Amino acid sequence: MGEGGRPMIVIDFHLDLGMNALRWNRELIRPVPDLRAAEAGLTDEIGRAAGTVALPELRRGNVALLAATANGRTTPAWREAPARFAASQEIAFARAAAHLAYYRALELRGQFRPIRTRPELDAHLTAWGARGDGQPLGYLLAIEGSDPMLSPAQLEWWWNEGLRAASLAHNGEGFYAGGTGAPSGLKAGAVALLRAMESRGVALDLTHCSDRTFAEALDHFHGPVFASHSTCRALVPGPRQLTDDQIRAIAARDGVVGLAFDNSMLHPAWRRAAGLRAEVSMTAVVDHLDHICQLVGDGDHAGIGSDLDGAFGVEQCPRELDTIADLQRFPEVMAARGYGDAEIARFMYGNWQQFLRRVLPAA
Amino acid sequence: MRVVDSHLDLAWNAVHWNRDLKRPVAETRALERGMRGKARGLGTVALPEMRQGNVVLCFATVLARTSDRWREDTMLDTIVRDIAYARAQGQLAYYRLLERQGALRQIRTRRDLDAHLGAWGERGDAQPLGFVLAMEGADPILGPDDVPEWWDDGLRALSLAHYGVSAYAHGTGTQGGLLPAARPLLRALEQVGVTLDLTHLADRAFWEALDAFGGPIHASHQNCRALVSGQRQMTDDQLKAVIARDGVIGVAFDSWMLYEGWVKGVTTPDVVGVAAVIDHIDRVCQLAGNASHAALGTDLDGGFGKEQTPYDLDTIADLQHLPAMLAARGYPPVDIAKIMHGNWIRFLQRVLTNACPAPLQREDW
Repeated sequence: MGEGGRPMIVIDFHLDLGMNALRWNRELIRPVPDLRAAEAGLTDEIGRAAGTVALPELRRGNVALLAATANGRTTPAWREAPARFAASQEIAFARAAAHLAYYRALELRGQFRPIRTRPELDAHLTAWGARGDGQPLGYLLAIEGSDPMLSPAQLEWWWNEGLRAASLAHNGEGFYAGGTGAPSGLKAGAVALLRAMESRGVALDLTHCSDRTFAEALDHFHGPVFASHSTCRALVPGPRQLTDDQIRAIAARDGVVGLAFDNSMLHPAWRRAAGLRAEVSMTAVVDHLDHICQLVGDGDHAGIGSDLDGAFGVEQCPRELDTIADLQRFPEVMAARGYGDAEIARFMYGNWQQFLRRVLPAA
Repeated sequence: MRVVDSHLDLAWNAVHWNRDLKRPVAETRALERGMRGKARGLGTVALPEMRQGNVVLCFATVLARTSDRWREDTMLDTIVRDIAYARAQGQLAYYRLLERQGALRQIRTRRDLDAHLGAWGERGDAQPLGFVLAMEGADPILGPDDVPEWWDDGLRALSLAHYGVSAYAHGTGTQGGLLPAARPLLRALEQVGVTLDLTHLADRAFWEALDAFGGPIHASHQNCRALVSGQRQMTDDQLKAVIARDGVIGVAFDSWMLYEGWVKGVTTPDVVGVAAVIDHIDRVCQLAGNASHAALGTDLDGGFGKEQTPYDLDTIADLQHLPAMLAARGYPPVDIAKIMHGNWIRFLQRVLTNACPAPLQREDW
């Protein structure tokens, strides 16, 4: 709750809704308990019967706006998980296009509203007001890992579909760049892709870059940068988290770091199998938030990028969180740490709103 | 000789089977070696072999259905139609991508068809493979209001159901007719000019659809119940009804539909050869009294591979053996040409119009 107990709106800059619909077969217009019941007994994917994200809960969580990804990864190791990995870029593109089509279906059902321009952003947040009653959820189309982009020449098509943010890679080696845990930096085609993104106005998401990719991408890309769902390596070692220097670099370019509500990125001792959920609290998210604020000297560069449907379930979320609606408990956790209402509002939505007002085109 | 094949699930194979259709069949078989699951390592269809087989044109499907069985078979089944729609759109995106890359050419109008046939000539060297967009099972269509958009995307042929009960009709393996949603959909399809594919309908649904739909009809991948029992095959009366409406029947190369008593996963492919396909072609010709209604609708990539195809067919390129076999059965060259491609071309010349938005431009993606 915000000031005076009013619900506070949320902007969540990283959800994989399309992937959850297409690969997990999740009917996202139904509430989380229904989805869990439908999946009882299934073991084909991670986090079955334990999902935390669906449209009714997003609404209860007052998530006025979210970045929804289209994704599709290529790897020579696709045979190990053919539903997860694509054997070619064409196939990755088709899978990402299916995510896109799902978002369109939600638009047709009045559940989703695309946000592609600054006026659309402003109008949506105005219409949403304090609680968003009867309003569609706003979504910004993002790509997680650029494998589905066939070439820089295809960016224009993506732009017309509403793409406004993209990351180069995901876990491991991507087509354009090394991602989390990979040794490579930028690869053939990446610089041209970054140039196309810069000239068209697509923001660069630095989440999931290898350290080399991160540094090289910053050198070659002069448009807006951010990290959609990351945490701090100073608190949780590992290549998935951002170093202090990387966080400073994003803040220096006036970017925002979205904090992930994924225990594996919040707690240094997290092991999925060990079931340490009880030991990880939303206070851990505040630890990362606080680290970023101390590092950059202000509260203008951190937000939420929950990743709550990123191939894990409730077993891997902070213990206060049963569904994404519980993001509404985050303000009180921040308040308990001494953050004031104005700062809390910036973390919950204000910083992303400001970032988007800068990034999105005027028309 | 040029071939028109009225049923391939190319995009489903790409998007859900992860088959890179630009690779030759042998490469994909090698890549799939050791993978578990039916038909892995045994595929028979890819673009290079279609080219070898001189397949000037195919009906290429989008295929996604909604079923309570989604928990068991997520390659085909979705929990809700929004997701079936999204899957079908993903498959469409694959075709459109291949079209933009110059590998495929979508045939949406009579003009497209004539131009493609002219450019292809007898052998199609370096020409894109032609395809007509088809939908197998109508679950991805959320309602009749969606039909114009699908039409604009080039959809020209559609079947109401697949296995099981769809949102619109009873399909293979079930007993029953059309569902209430079918009639408004059929009206919308008739209005824009989509041809109705009667394959996979349950018997009652077949007759009800025939009554409810006044537009052109066909059977995209279909054999004869008189030769192989089972509801998946059409009775002589059904075949005659398709023929009476000047429809065409594409005969399928699925051994399960060619061999009486075939048990999926048990019967071995050596028991039936391409000669059995000719038996079904011949049956359709005898029923029609001419060779103007029998054609090819191989279904060769329909969820099975060499383990369930005639033993004397290795890839779709081997369709080129068919003319000699038909000749050996006494078919004259003019009839062979009709069966191999002429009947579908004539059918499409009748069905397609020139009302359509501009085609996609080739892109350097």
